[in-house]
Amino acid sequence: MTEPAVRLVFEYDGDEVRMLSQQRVELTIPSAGEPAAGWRAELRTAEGGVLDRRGLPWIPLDAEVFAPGVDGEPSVRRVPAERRTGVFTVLVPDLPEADHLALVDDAGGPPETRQVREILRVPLRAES
Amino acid sequence: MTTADGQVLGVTRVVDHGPPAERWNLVILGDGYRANQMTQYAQDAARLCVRLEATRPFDSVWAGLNLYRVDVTSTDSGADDPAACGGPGTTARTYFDASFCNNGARRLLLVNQATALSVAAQRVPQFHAVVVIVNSQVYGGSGGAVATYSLATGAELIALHELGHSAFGLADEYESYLGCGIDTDRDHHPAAEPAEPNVTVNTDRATLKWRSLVAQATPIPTTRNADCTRCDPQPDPLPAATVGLYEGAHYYHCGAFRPQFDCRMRAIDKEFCAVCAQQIRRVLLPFTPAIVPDVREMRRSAAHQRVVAAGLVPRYTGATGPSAWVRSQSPAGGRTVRYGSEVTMQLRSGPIP
Repeated sequence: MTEPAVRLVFEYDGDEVRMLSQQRVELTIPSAGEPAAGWRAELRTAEGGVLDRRGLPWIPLDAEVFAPGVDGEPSVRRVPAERRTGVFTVLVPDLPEADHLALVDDAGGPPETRQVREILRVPLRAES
Repeated sequence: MTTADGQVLGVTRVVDHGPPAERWNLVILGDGYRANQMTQYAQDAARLCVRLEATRPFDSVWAGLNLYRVDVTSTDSGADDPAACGGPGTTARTYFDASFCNNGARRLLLVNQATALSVAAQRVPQFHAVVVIVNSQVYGGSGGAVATYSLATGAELIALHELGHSAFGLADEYESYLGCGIDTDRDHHPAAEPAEPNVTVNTDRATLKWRSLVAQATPIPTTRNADCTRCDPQPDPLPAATVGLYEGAHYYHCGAFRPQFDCRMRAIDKEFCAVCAQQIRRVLLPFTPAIVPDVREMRRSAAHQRVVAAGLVPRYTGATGPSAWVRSQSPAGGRTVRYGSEVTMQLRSGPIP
């Protein structure tokens, strides 16, 4: 269903993450399943209540390399990244009670021992 | 090398299935095309559209997609191809700074992804995914926030595989890391269950992620790798496209399983397997419009069945029974609604006309 949304673009370099842009847009947001362990985005109220939760793309320490499969080259292999850098986008509903977006790193495991670390908190602008 | 090395000319909706706010929108960008190569770029972009439409399962949800071509010129043609990776050492001044030879791999072709996302957002605010075509005949490509591929034969398949990751949340199904016969530390997958829908460590038929697609007669596991120190050399023991539980996936020889012997997430020249196709459809169906069938025109045999035409969910109200017939329906036949919408049929008793 078409709804107001906010698209945020982030850049990462090692463990450093910063927001590049924030844009309001009217579109249909793909459905989000319950995110597993790893990085995720949480849309929160000012009091910290979670309004929406989305898994973030896997940020690899390597890159996928394809070859046409001739001259003995593997048709696909992975190569370690020299630096862990890149960008990713987050698309969340634009809800009136939303105050900020938090990027968190969920280590997974049983709920009683599960560790969740906040990486970055970004205030949502009234207009963008 | 930077955005000073070219300009954005404009955007064209090359596949138009309706309002962008209601569709899944793919943006195609080009890099390393000079101003006098825009006709060639348009043809290259059109070939990607044709390839995508012909690819299962995109063909079945095609009406849910819009494709946009953003015309971007570069000062030079091609991409950087450093000598350090065996290339000729050429440098091309291009808008998105396309370059081979990343992380020491010549075929790893990257662009400035932040610039690509920025241009996509400016020109198509409702975009969901971005693909960059690089004007080079050297085979290469990459994934991440933006999928990239060159014009070498078959390289466009890299983009389809990478969209599987970035847009549809699919995992790699191949069982090697550096390559079969090269790896020495890929014998057994860790015990943790991967989050993606198309790989698993679970061998229990009753709780298998894709159990609904597995025939009762198909053995689970379907194959086992007899030598976990290497990739499994055995051929598919079952008819092609059988969904089962094949050992060897997610960069490990043993302990991780994939749904079918072949899949585009395992080898890019294959079709998406049934599980991956189901996941792609699951994401795209909410964007896909459906035309309401006129149930009053339906034959008796059809009227006695639950009608799930084009994904519509009918709800029968009023009289029911073997002689019931449709008196009216809402929405009316012929209207376009969102896939999965509900059609209410008012039934009456009496002989079938």
